[in-house]
Amino acid sequence: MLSLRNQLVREVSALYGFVDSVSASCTEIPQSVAFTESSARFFQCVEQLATATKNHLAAFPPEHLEIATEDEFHEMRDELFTIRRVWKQLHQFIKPASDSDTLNQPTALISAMLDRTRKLPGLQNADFAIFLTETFDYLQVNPTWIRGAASDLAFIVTAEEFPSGLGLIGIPSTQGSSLFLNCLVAHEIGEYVYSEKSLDDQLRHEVRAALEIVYGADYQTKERTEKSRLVDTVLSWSKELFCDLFAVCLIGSCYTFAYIELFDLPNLLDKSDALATSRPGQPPIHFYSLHPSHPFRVKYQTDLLKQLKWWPQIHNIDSRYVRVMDLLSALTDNDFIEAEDTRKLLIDAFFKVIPEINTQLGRIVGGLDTGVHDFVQLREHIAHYLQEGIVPSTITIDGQPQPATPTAVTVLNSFALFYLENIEKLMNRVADENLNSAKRRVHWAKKLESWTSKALEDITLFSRP
Amino acid sequence: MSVLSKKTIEARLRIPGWRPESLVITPFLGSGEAFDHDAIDLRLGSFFLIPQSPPAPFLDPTKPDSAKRSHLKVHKPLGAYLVIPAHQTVLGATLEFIKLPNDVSGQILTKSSVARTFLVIETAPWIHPLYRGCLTLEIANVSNTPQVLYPGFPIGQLILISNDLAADAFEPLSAAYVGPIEPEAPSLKSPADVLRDIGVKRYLSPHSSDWKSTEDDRQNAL
Repeated sequence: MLSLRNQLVREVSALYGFVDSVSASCTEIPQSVAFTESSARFFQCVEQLATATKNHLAAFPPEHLEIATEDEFHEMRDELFTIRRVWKQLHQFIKPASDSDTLNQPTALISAMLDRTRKLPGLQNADFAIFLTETFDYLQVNPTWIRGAASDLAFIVTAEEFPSGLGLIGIPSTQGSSLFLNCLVAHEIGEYVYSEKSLDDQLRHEVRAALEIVYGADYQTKERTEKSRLVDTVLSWSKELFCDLFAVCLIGSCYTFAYIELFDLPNLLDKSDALATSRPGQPPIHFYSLHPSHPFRVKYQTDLLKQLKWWPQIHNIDSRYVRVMDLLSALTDNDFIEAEDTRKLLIDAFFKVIPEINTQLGRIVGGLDTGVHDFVQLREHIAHYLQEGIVPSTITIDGQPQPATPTAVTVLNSFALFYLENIEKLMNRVADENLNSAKRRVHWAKKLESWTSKALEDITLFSRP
Repeated sequence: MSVLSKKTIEARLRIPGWRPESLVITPFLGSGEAFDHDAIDLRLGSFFLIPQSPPAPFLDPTKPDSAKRSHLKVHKPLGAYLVIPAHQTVLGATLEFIKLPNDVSGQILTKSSVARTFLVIETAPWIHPLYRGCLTLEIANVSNTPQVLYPGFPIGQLILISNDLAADAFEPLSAAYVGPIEPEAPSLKSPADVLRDIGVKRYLSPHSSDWKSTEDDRQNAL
């Protein structure tokens, strides 16, 4: 029979091999691919943890330590268990992050959003690596969670801790390089900010107070676990709404347009462009079982766009997307609650928390230029450039001695409006183009995206000292 | 027809880009140093297509995607570099996006300092009026030494030449000349189509030793 030490050595070898294979995606990256600085930073941290882990395992169990008793054996075995657990957690992200090289993520868009996030108070060190997910969804991995997991490991293997502020954002693997839909990444940046600013802790008190008001004396008689469930539900709704509103502040109306496209909300309209929710297949406007409905969220995004002065710039455009926004914005909060919904009180409590969500949002983004002024100045000019198939990064205007450089927010929103309203104008400029061909429309939509991405890259170059 | 001078180029650059007579070069970095008396320096962009042998053993004009599938796309961000082995080629593109007016044609030449290292950046240097896009560069290292390419470095010179077309005409754009921002592999034309158009009735496919009818190919396509 093998000695306890020998048994441990076998298990250590297996674990060493596991760590080696998990970290290989970071350590064996071919020279033909490039990564953003944020991704490279993530890989560097993983590599450093992997090296420390392997060094630790190579000397494990220490020669001088006796493994005479069952307890001593299990103490060491527990350490191996923790190391394996943390590497299993990291495993979920390492290969998907290494798949997200600069050709497989919207590098210019992410860089523009990151630059803007870093202008927010206390977020100068904000950073996030992108990974590709197999689900058709956008994800954010809480940086505190990563740091926590990595800290457990770093303590055991004596490595440097994960840097603070480094988060992970997942985008659908098939949408890696698209621009329009990836405007939804702004929501995930909102989740990152929500987590970094510990807004759960800040909102929890408001949520409890709101629940006490709407449930009255009943609230105090509820079981502790039930109270906790109610608080967590309202908190999770609050987070979703905060992140949507944050995204609108970060990049403007293009976020809402992308949101409407992803969730197919023009399907709320009938053929006369009126709101109709009775037909099968149409998205319900009432609260869903797990979170506020998409129409409710669009209403709040639209209300914020009105506050931020975006609305006068977009409400006249000829698009069903804007019509949806207009109609949803006209509804009251109660229109989004089904008459027989058993969660009415819970939803009421959520409504009471919304002013505090706005207050927290204002504290974080209040000093950020909305971008509307620059957009108003340059939107028409950019539309002319796009219509002529020209990258809109250097805008020459009659009567102005120097060309203008638009902001990233202006370029993104000008692109989004042009995409929704004027793609036919671009196609009409091209000889023998078929406006009725979906294939050709996609061709030109992709061109628009590529010119916009190029403009974002150019703007970054112009902003370098 | 004459080569545009720095003064004329600057005047064209000051016209709003969407107007037919305007010239656009963006991003126009280091504007002063980029100008010669009659030429503008263009920089190397960050995207490359590296020729690969697989999946087909040769570029096959009978397969429309053959050229597109025989390249490996590579991104080298500013600050990174690409090595071209001796006697090897790569497709690159200019960092600058350019738009030519209707009455101007262009030509891109290798910068002399680059040419002296035996790098050739362009074998199809002519640029048609109304072109808009980053220029695809057919970069060849004809030296015996591997060479390092840094995106962002000046690599070519753009010469602009006036032609006798109307400057202010909103001519329809050709889809082929609108909008690449990265190097593009060619779309190979089918030998059956091209040869049939000039009256050739049969041709040899690289996949068969038998002669094929150019007309049959059209029927099959229909």
